[in-house]
Amino acid sequence: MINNSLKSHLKQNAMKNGVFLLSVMLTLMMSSVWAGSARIEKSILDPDKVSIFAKNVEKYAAAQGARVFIIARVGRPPNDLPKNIKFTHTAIAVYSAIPLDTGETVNGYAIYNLYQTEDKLDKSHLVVDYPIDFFWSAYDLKAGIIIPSMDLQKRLLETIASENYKDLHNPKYSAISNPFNSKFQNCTEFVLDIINAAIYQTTDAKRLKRNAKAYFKPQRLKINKLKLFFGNIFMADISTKDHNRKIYTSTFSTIASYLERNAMTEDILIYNQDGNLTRL
Amino acid sequence: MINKKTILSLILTISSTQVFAVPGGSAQNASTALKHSGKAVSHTAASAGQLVSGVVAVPLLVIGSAGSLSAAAGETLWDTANDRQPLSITDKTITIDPMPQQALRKSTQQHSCELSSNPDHSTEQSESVNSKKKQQTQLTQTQTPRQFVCMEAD
Repeated sequence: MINNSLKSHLKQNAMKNGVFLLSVMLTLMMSSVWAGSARIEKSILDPDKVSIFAKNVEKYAAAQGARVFIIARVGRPPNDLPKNIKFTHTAIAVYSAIPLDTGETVNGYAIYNLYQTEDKLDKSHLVVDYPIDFFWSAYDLKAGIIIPSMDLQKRLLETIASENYKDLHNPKYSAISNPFNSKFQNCTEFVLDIINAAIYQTTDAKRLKRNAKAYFKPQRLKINKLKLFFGNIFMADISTKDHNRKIYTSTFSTIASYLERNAMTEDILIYNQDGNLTRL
Repeated sequence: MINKKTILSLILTISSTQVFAVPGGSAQNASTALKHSGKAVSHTAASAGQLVSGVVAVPLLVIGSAGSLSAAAGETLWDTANDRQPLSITDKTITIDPMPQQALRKSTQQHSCELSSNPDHSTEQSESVNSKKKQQTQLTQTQTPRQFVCMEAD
């Protein structure tokens, strides 16, 4: 009788331990799924195709006369993207004079990014790179393009070229950051902050967030609570501290809607690999 | 009591790759990838233009005579931009990192400069530095990864 009770107890404990280990294992697996997106060193797609695509995107934007445009890439397998999420990384492209290490200076687009720091996933840093760098790890050769109105382009350029640009960066990173407060920032929120800094001519974080709350409509992310719970615990780059019960974050599409609602866009589109343009 | 259904639901719940494919996926991948992209794309350069390394991009609208920001210069250029005229774009493919060979050459030269600019070197050390510099110059002319490794081992 005692033996049976002991066996039952041990079995129960083993089951609990098993579940715990399973949870940890799967959570780590989940972490690696995310990290796989964060630390890809090889091009997912044919480098030749990426190179041609990146140049075509540049040429398209230049043909439209865009001095500044908002650009986005698909950094996850399209089938993995949650509903209403079309792009995973957003930045700002600026038509620039680019001195080469050959001594020559050429014209092209430089891309102003907030990137997650590789060895500190809860931190970010600012990087200026070029279209091929931007699309290097894309899973799908699609570019999200928002060409702002000329007035906004000018303001954006002034903001990016000023010291204010760096002041707008918050190095505390969460991939699901809430655009309505300054606790964390991800790439898309950084772009939103730059846009609002350009519009309102301020770097006052409180004012920027107040206006975002008043006028910007973020995307609700419907993430399973259990996943969120584990992500919050085990993943350095996932935090819910800046959220209430529901998770809202900024996306390329919500930025497009925000600018469109306020008549601040010339064009919003998706540039596809074959050169076809589709509406976002 | 946690049963098989619970375990199964845990597996299905957590192992979904859709979990955090979120819009803030601002991965560092691009900049790290560039260490590899030079090599990878160089083989395909003919189809997408010569691969070159950019230094520091300067927004064209506000470039001044000495490369500093200038509102006046920017204003002039902006008038043109208002017409949405097409802009010229180089056919070259620009990356933030140089080609592997260039990077190797640069780091060798930089290493050489660092050695020679140290004021605390004794005469004996300076001779050693000069010797190394000569060696490095030779390596720069006919450098291969293997030679570079040998030099580092010194």
